[in-house]
Amino acid sequence: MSINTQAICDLFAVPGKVAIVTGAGSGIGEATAHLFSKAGAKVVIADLVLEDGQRVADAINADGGEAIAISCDVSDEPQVQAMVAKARETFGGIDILVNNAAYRPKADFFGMGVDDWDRMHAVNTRGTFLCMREVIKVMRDQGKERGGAIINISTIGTALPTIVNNVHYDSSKAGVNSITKSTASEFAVDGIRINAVMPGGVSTGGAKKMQTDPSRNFVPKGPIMMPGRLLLGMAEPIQLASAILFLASPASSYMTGHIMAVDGGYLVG
Amino acid sequence: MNPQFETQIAPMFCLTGKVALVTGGAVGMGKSVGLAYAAAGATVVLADSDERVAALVDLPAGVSARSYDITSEEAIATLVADVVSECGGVDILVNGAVVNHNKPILETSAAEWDSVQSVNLRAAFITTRQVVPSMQARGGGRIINITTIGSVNPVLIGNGAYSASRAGLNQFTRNCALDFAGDAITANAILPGAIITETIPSSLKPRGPGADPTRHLGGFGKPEYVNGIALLLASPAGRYITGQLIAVDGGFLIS
Repeated sequence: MSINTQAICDLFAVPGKVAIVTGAGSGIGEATAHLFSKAGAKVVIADLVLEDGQRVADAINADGGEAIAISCDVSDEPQVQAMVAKARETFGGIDILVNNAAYRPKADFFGMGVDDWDRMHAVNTRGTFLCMREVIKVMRDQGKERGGAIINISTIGTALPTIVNNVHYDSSKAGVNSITKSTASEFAVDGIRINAVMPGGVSTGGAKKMQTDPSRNFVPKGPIMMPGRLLLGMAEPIQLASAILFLASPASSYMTGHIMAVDGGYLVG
Repeated sequence: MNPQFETQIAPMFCLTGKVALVTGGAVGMGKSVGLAYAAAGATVVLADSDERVAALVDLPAGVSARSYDITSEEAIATLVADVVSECGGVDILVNGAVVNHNKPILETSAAEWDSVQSVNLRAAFITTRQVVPSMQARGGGRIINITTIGSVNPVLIGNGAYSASRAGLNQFTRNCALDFAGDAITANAILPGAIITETIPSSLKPRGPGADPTRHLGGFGKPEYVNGIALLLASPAGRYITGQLIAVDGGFLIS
């Protein structure tokens, strides 16, 4: 049986679309940026660390794609405004936003200072809000026919506890889930679809570093560390990127406000 | 077409060499998904009632249809055995068969209740039980159950028996995800919203939250709107997704 590549392309390709991926200098964001480029998008790599973002943009450009890197702290309003303005100016519009940038340091519940709590919510929750607000302005400006797709990266920790010393992170991401549903309802009329992905355990550089770097003084414990709880084992970033591409592409044209776990069965394990 | 799409993205969503069995496959979303699988390279068997299979014309290469009595355990076993013997096995099972009497709860007889559970839940269990050994033998598989957003939140008045059966299938899906994870078999449910198919009787006068068109943020849907998620869940790209209930509802659940 021959494959109709065009049929697959019609569903999952994003030709000519402009995508901003925050936190795309590593991990899930980096895999998503590469996948988007192969699926035909022009990609804006927004990362706190410019050299990480530039490395990813260079790799995409060397591979025949089109990408730029922009340094951006998503918790900083002027930086987000400048990033979105540059993205629009460079590529002539914005069609896709992936809010992937996250702050993740663990903190003991009793030892956690309000600074830890606030920084977590500033990056993960306020950062998602700021990026969405600036990008939705552009998407509305471009008209309902062009519309847009926004994918927020959350965590299964918002649905079931996974790891200790992560209360502030889970709280910040539960806010992201809520933002996802509220904005999906509010901006459906503008043709903008907004969904979230909840990753489970993912083998990213950050996760590996968290578990091996003694200076972080963190021994991971909690339900997710129990043998067998991740029914299908740890995910590679590409598995998350695939679901993100699905939610950015015409394949999900009738989905909005959905919070989708890509967790290898953790939530049923 | 972007050459990188062809060489690097398409294979992620490709079903070459896979065999898919789709129940309720002659109409609506089952048929739509079956044809999408065939376009992605799978060998597809559409299973449905005599009448519906007889009405199928012009099936593309790689797609065949088979009629059976979904209420009969023996008939389901024969269907699966025949597909395994003719196609070599089954890699993808879509439980898409469904009935809905849409009757007020107080007017629903026990026999009508039973007939809804029989097609919508019992048959999915029996079919899954018959198919999984072939998936185990082939080193993995995908179970995709088509339920409804009515299994999560009420949508229409008169859907009590139907929604209960679909809620049962949701939970059966999650248990399959747990039981068969060690066999590299994933199980997920697609929860369509107001997707209009030819099987909805013209006599149906919808009443309830879902009858308000403005509650469906993307308007009413078409069967092909579930093709994308159905292909993701069946393809290499979806191999890490299991135990999920995924709404394809134009935002109804958040409206």
